[in-house]
Amino acid sequence: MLTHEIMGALALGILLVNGLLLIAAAYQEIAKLRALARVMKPLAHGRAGVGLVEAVIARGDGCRSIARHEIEQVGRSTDAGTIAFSDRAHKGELLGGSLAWGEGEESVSIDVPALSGAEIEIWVEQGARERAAVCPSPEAFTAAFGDARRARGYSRSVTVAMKEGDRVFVCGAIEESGEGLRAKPAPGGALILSSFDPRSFLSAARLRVFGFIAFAAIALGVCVAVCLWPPHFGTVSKIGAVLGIAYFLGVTPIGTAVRDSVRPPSRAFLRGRWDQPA
Amino acid sequence: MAAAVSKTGTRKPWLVKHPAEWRQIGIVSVYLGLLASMYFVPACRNVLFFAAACFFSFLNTIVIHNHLHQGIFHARRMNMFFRVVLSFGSLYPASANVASHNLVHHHFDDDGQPDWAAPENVTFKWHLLNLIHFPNVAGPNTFNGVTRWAPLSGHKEFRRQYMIEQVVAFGGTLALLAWDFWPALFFIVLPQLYGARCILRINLIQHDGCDTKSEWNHSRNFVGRAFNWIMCNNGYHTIHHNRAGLHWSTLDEAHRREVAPRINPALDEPSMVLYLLRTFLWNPTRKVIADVAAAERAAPALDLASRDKRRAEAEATASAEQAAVATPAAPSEASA
Repeated sequence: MLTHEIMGALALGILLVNGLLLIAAAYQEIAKLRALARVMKPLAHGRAGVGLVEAVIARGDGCRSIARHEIEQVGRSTDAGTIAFSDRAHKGELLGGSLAWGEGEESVSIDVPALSGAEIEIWVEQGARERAAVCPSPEAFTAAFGDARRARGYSRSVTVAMKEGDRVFVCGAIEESGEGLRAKPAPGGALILSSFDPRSFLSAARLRVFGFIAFAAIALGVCVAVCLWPPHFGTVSKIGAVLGIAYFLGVTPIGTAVRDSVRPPSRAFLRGRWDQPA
Repeated sequence: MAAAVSKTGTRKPWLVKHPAEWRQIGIVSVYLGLLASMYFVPACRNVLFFAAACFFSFLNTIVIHNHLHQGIFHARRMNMFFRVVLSFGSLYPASANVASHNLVHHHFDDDGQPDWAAPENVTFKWHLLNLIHFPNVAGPNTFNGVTRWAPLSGHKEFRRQYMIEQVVAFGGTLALLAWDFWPALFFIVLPQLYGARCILRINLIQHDGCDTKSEWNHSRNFVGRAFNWIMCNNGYHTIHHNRAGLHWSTLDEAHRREVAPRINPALDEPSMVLYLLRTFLWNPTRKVIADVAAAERAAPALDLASRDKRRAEAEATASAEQAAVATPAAPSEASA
């Protein structure tokens, strides 16, 4: 016979294994962030190496842009009369140009080649992406809505460019090239061009993941403790079981949300919505 | 009651579209009977009943899968009612399959949007942990995706049906918990969750190590006869992806005819149990099959619609079904 004690032990075992797996998966995200942080150590001014450089875009070969971040989206109409966008692809492309590392006479030029592919990551602030995704006009909404109502949806690309004069952070391999320097992807890694200090993203991301780990562990401990509160299978124990069910069903969506929030900015979800103009 | 006669003059089975569907109805009936037995009869709370309930809970999700591809009954309202029953059995709204499985999973990441249940979602080195953890990722991905899909135009009936299924599944389970808490938790909820999480794991089992870009080597098949009898031919996964409109009872013959000449032999497993033991217990690390799609390049070409066309057909079918529920046919047309 399967007594309450046996089944209770089984249920608690499932809860514990599951909770620990979620915590372990969150640690995998920490490991990825740590690996990124290791290549983001600032380089000494003018010196080659693998690390982080803060510079200004001196020349952009793509219509005065040195890089662009592109999100391909499809918009579909909703019954509320809006257009809901889903992301199809995230792309980063270097258009070529040069950066000025340092100021005045101490400025050193870094050549940036034209490159695209998985090893190029363009990080732009979420605010800049959202501003680029705003509906430009009521006429644009009307035109888009027609396509959005069809099976194929309304396709568009949201592009954010890095232009001459913008301050950027470069993370990758800076190597000597002729009389100057050149940027390229780090060995086994990527070349990251960011419009903000990427270390701030990493810090915030690690904090979020550690926060989730702490929450998941403490909540798990509380659930188990309340479940095991004597007398077993009494009222308090029952409350613990309810908390356990809530934990089992609730902690995974929270974990997924945290995971999505620490996606590198080059692949962060944009999605978004166009509301019908007034 | 006499079977109806179709417009072509052939005799149609009573109530169900295909005689084999009684197997699925039987599976669900046995499952609900096991749950009721354990809940109401203390003598039934034993290993045999519990193990059987967990197994049939998984089969209940198999029935959800088949039923959401092709409704079991002639009458559309019966099909919608059956979805509600199935939802209680698995503690999730069965209609979620429309978006997550029929539209997204069947087309992998063809349109750039990642499959919500892609094997790449889990990355532990010890592969057994991936199997256990997979529903923790695929589950929220699925429900988030359905939440984004549901508000789109033309899905009003879907939203209504989805809400009814959630109310019955969760409300019914809560009622049982309120009536008799511990038996409900141990002998209703645990089997419900077992089946729901196993059907998510099947995505990992059936696609890990395969080439989802290929036409015939995107899935792993389990071809044992007894296995497929009880699993309603869900072991034949490649042909199911490629010809989603085929009735499940015909998949074995279609697999032998179309898939077998074009598939890497490593993707035609004779036994799921042996595969699970070999893959997740005896060899702890994840394996990749080199050039898995070689066999299909050597085989003669076959008339198979492009993936874009198949996706468009699936979306059209889903839209037509929802429109049909919104404007139910007159009684004389209900069995057409």
